[in-house]
Amino acid sequence: MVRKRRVCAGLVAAGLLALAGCGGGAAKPTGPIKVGFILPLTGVFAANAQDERDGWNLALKDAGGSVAGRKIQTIFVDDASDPNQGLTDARQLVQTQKVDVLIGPIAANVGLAIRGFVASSGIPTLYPSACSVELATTEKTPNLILTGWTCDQPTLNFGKYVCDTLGYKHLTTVAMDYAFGWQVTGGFVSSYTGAGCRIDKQIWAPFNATDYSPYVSQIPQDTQAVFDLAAGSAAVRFTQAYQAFGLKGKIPLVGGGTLTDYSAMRSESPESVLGAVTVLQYADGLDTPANKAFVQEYHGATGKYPSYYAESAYATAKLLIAALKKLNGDTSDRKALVNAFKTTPFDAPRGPVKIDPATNSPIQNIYIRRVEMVNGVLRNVVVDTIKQSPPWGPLPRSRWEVQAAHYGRTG
Amino acid sequence: MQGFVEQTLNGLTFAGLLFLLGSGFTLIFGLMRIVNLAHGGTYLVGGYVGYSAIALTHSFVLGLAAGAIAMAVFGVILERGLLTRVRGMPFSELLLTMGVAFIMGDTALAIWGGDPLAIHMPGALDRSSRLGPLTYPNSRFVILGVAIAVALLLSYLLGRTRVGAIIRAGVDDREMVSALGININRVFTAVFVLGALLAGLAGVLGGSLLTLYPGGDSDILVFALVVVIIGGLGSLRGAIVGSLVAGLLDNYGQAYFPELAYFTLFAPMVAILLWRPQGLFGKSTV
Amino acid sequence: MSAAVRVLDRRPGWLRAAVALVLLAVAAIVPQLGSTFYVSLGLNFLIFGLLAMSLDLIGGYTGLVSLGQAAFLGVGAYGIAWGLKQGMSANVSIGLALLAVVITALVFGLAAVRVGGITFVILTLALGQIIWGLAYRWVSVSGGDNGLPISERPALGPIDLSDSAAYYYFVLVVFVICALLLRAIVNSPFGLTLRGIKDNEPRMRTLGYQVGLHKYLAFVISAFFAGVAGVLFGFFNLYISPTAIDFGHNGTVVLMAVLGGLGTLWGPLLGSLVIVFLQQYLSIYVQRWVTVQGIIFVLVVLFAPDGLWGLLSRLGRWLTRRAGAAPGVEPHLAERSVVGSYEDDLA
Repeated sequence: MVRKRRVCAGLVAAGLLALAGCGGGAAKPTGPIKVGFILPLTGVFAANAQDERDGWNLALKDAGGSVAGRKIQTIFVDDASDPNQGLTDARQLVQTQKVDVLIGPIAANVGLAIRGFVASSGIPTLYPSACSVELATTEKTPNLILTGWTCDQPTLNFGKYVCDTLGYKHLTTVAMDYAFGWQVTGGFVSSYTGAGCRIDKQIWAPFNATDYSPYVSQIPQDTQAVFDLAAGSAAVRFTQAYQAFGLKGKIPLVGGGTLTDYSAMRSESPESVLGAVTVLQYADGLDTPANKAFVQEYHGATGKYPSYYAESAYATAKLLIAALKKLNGDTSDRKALVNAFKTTPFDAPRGPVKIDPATNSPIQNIYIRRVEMVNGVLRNVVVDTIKQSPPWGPLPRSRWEVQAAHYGRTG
Repeated sequence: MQGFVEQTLNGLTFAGLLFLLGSGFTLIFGLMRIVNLAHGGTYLVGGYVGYSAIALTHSFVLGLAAGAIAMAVFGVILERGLLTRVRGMPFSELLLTMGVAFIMGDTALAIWGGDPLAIHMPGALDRSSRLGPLTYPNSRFVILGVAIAVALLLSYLLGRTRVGAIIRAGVDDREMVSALGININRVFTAVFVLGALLAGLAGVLGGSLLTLYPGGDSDILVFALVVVIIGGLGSLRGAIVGSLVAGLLDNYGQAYFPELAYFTLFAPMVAILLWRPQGLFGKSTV
Repeated sequence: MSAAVRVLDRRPGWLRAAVALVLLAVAAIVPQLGSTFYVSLGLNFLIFGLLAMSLDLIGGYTGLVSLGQAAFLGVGAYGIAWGLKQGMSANVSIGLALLAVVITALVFGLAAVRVGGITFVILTLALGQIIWGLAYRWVSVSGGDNGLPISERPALGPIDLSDSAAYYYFVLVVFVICALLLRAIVNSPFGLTLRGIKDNEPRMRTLGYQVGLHKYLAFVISAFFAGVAGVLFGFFNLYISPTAIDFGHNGTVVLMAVLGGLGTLWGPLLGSLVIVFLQQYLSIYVQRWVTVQGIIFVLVVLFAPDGLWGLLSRLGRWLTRRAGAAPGVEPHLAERSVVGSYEDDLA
């Protein structure tokens, strides 16, 4: 049995065989395909979790809720952003609910806590939004694939743009003081200083900072620009304080994509974010037929503009469906399924995506966006595109690996 | 120097918000010996109610009133309906309010969703003023102004009125007040409702400063605890000083000792607890 | 049914032993249900049960309810994670972790036992927040927000604990040993003195007891068992992050203890069963499970102030009375009279 699976996987990799007969020789299964989706439905990330759920459901609706004659059944469970609970959820989904595929959590620490179980159980797993660079490895977790991004992938492509194209020669960074902030900011700083520009000051705000005024007040008056990394309500508080303290319009604002992603921008006032230039693998204002159709459909279904969480869950569902089509709906061979995930390039609203086999994370376009008012609505409009960036951006891969292992608090 | 002035202003205005939150908390604590863990939830839900009222009526003042009054009504229900049943058992009271805090946070999430919501003050209040080289948001001065007005009102209420005299006496010695034939239960309700009203008011104002989001209740509750511990139980003066110390410490700490940012609040609190467990202005009756 | 209760009630010792054996048997078959999910529910229950029982020693028996108990679980789990990261063996790491727990408790205890009542609650909350802050901030040691992986479980002689069923049995054995130790402590003269302090501290002081020292020792012993729970927790999840010791989790431990019934030792265990079930199981089926949890707490505080354990023993007494028999000496009255006579002896 074990040997047979291996042979099958090998054949899939070689692309030699239609897979209907693989996976134990049983007849093609006809029951529903079960998907376990771990999300922080309560707590700070609740809205992002709702976005992912909406995006996911939309993609399934598009596909008629089934693939190759099998219904897709999704079980959503709440991890409350607690690693211990996420781990129990994963065990419950895989061992008791017998799901065929696991879709991962939002919080990085939950994602990190689960991955040991993911590796040992062999369950095919996709993480749509957790982006920690530690997760981007095939060695430890061959069956875990990041379908969204690696945290530093956008910013590795951004520093040079800010330095050369925007021409801000020295700037100040303000970032949330935890692993996500370190990685996004670390990617930016390496690219920015690598292009010959200089960091004036680095300010770190605790992830649970309530009042942003003490951080905004520390920004030097003579700095040429500010790079900010904040997400969710922290992004709203930062942009609000930035404007209220008179810095908006005086010092240009650039940042990581979450700063003006729709997960925050729904609550941000126009005057506090207009003109901000940020970078991410997705832009709600991306002018392609695929994205326009997605935005229109999502807005029609939910009344919201899509955040990157919504897009990523939508894209992850697309990948799942494409991979299952390739396998003719057969989920019995886990290795074959993982392999199909890795070898099926897919078209997301964000553009074409393929999975880099070495890091199990996406090679995709990176968008530099500016917040503009389009027909009375705030949108992230694409001003430049880095085509098909690998996870290591423009760096040599070996250098990125060293760098990625050492992101931390600096300055 | 300019940075120092700005950080001091930040600390003072943040202290204003903390005072609105902490004054009710400390009176409830001092008079009724209740650690009201639902105080953060009252703040958050008050803010959300204010947000909805503003969205409906386009009036900030009505929003303030709605948030405050809704929470006052809630305070009556919580105090008369639930807390009276466990009166005199401090630990049961603490747990009861903890359970209520869970329910409030989750219900708020169910009603208002998880997106952060920002409240905007009307007109010029939402803009900024230039003070020499500084640009400073007017809304923060509004909050400080409201806090000062409330502080004056409270000190008048406590210092010059009969009810205030009863409350002060009750903080010092509850049994004595009961023995004098005063209906202490009515005083309890009044103080509890006052605290809830102030928390609701703080929620609407805080919504403009800090935004409203799931988890905002426990973030702010921690500050309220710090204020009360530094200032001391049941002391209005303690709440003022406690808010100032907490607000300024938090700002200076973040600005000048960012490495120790998590400890600038808690380490002094532990030190004060050890040196004067009753707080800087508390009476040593505990 | 009630006849059986009556019979059993006449022989409380026998009854208890029987109940304990049945429960142990139930606990022992959990891994045979064929899903590591049930094993992990069981592990959560045992580990948090131990944590809640450790809290009961200081909270229920000494009258000092700590809102920082999860911090010691954190020190235990971080201790092994750090030790293993430094390349130490699992056994050395465990020793190191427990040592760190005891040292932390010795230091915190100096501060904590000087105050009482609600002040103690808040002081321990602050101390717990400091540990939490360190876990977030001291990144070179703690890994910050991302936490630390725990690379391996120790081998117990020839038994490989990396299998989850084997680990479950190991935890079950450790749990039983710790529970028996805790029971021995609360029933020892030391434990009775603690109860005396809880009931009437000035009196115990007058009687010449070193009240402060007793409280201090109780604090440290309680922390030690919480640390053991932390070591078990760390090896269970093979991962530790600051979330496990945040404000909410410290509160959860208290809720477990109170829900079950403070000062009963087994009550907190029952409380942890209910809460683990709510958090890890109900959360899958009920979206508003936090509200359900809140409502349960409110109801328990209002209608079962002595916790579920108290409710159960009242139910037991009611059944006995309904059976129309003259009940024997009821267990909790028996306990109370022990304290009483002990105090009388002192007088």
